[in-house]
Amino acid sequence: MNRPPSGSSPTIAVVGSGPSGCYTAQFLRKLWPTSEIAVFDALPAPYGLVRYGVATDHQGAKAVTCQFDRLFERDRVRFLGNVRIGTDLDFAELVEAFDIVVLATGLMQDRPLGVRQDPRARVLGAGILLRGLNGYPDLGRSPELSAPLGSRIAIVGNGNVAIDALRLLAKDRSALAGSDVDDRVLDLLRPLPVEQIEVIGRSTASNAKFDLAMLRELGHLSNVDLAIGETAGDEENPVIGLLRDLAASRDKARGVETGEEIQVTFHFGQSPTAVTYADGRAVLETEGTDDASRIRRYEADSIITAAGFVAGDDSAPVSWSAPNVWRVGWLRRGARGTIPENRRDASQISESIGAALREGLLAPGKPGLSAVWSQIAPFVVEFDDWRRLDEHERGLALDSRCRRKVTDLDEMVGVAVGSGRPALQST
Amino acid sequence: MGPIQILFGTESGNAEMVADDIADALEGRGLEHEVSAMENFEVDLLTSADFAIFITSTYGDGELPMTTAPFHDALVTAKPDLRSLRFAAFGLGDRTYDTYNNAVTVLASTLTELGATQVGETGRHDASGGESYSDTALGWLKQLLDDVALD
Ligand SMILES: Cc1cc2nc3c(=O)[nH]c(=O)nc-3n(C[C@H](O)[C@H](O)[C@H](O)COP(=O)(O)OP(=O)(O)OC[C@H]3O[C@@H](n4cnc5c(N)ncnc54)[C@H](O)[C@@H]3O)c2cc1C
Ligand SMILES: Cc1cc2nc3c(=O)[nH]c(=O)nc-3n(C[C@H](O)[C@H](O)[C@H](O)COP(=O)(O)O)c2cc1C
Repeated sequence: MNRPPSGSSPTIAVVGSGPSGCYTAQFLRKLWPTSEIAVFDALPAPYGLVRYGVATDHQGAKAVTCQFDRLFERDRVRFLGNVRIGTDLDFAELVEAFDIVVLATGLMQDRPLGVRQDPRARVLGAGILLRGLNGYPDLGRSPELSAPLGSRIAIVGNGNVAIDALRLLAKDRSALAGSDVDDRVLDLLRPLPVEQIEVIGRSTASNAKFDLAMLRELGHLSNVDLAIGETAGDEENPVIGLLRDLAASRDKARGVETGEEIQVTFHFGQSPTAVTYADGRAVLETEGTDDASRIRRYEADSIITAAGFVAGDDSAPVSWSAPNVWRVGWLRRGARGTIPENRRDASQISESIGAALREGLLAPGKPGLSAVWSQIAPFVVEFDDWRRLDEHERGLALDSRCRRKVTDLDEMVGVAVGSGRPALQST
Repeated sequence: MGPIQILFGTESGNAEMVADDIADALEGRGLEHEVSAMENFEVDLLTSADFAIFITSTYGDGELPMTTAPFHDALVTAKPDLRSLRFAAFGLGDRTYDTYNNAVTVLASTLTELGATQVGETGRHDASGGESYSDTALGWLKQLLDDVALD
């Protein structure tokens, strides 16, 4: 048998071009400078939640994509967008075609609150909200995002995503300068300024998961009045301390009341028990985590849940497994952690992949992309195509926005591949 | 002169990309260099180095990234004599944080306290400023090489 030596360049497919998929491609490229590495994504645009999750006013965090651009532009990693594994290409075929398959499909679905919920109450997941404001394809037309959220909003959760939702709903249009917020979705959701936002978390303030820097950023918003509500008796901690300082410095700075302030109140240690509906409003009912008899009712026009993420229809099912398949990122670890944590995870997984080949557990020799190319060639969006869409979106940006995303999936593909697509070519 | 040591500390990988860019530029000028992650670099080796370029981002609330912190701790603990070391420093940060580029300032002042001499201005990249990492870093490097003789 003429088998390539173990450890020689394997063919590699990565499914998902979010941070964990891209970091894995980066580490594997360092391990095997000449391997064929193909990164598939269901969408015609790369980078997963960096493009569609990370808040539109945090362009600095989105700038991590510079690194990933380089993979596709310089380091000979192929981007194969608009290819949904499981639909456009069978998982089994991928496993047959590539020596190594890395699943990095993330977790997309908002975790439900898990309490009894009156269907008349307007309840919206923070993930959908952030995706909508980020111009996720075809989402702006969904019924969930097509009606105003109202003037009183309750946000359930105390992680960074809850604060992202709060900040984006509180910022007026001009405070969103430099962002790529989808103004059409924002205007639909918020035709008039919000008046009141209550942030209700199960953790006490000491255990709240958001970063202090995220709170401090709220302190810079001139139209936001911060206050502390329920604390479940946990008041001597950095979070409450910072909230007090921010509230106090604002009181001092405030000149005349403009009447346009948004009252933002943080409640801690409140465990949701039900979402009911009364007088045309949603009502979040809670009990204190320190004292279950302390029942509270938060009335709001809509309730936004930021309780984490779980596998949706999009995620790789558990049945997708084989000896040459690895999982990485949110899909592997659960929906916890920021972009850097995916980098550490990708580094570890890449090491185990390298070890598996060194130890001869896998013998490379599968053909790679050429085996599946004819199936995806008719619709695949490659990196140069994406670049065309990218340029186009930057060109569409109005006034103070840095980009206006194309949100119609067919239009995205149309702009990307252009009308003059060259005759299909094999690799 | 020995090879220029390029040392980076990073959380999400941007500082490593900058280190690679700087290495490429030095390569282009025929300057000998070595790139290392701070986490894999023995601080004692700095006592025999002539010139080093330190690149670090800032995280958390103005803190050192997880890969810069152990290196910095080792400097503070081992107190190597760095009087023969000249160095330049480049930071990655984001101006929307109150603690803009704090980590590179902390690292540079520790190095200075240990006797090393900083040359050129500390470079700073602002992730929310819109300029690419490469443009800012290479512009800074060009200025540095114009001002300082490295060969
Ligand atoms: C609202 C929100 C805001 C956030 N803000 C920040 C922040 O400011 N800073 C920070 O560090 N982190 C932030 N995070 C966390 C960060 O986004 C995640 O840690 C990271 O994106 C997870 O990376 P991943 O690659 O595992 O998954 P994802 O980023 O979700 O990428 C998964 C990719 O797989 C693709 N995919 C899915 N199924 C298939 C399939 N069947 N075939 C092909 N492709 C498929 C998807 O289209 C997607 O591109 C935020 C998260 C959310 C939800
Ligand atoms: C959670 C978090 C905290 C940050 N804190 C700071 C900070 O305090 N000061 C700063 O200047 N930049 C801060 N930044 C910005 C990063 O330094 C910047 O994005 C940089 O490009 C990251 O480089 P790296 O990939 O090498 O770590 C922070 C970024 C994140 C995601």
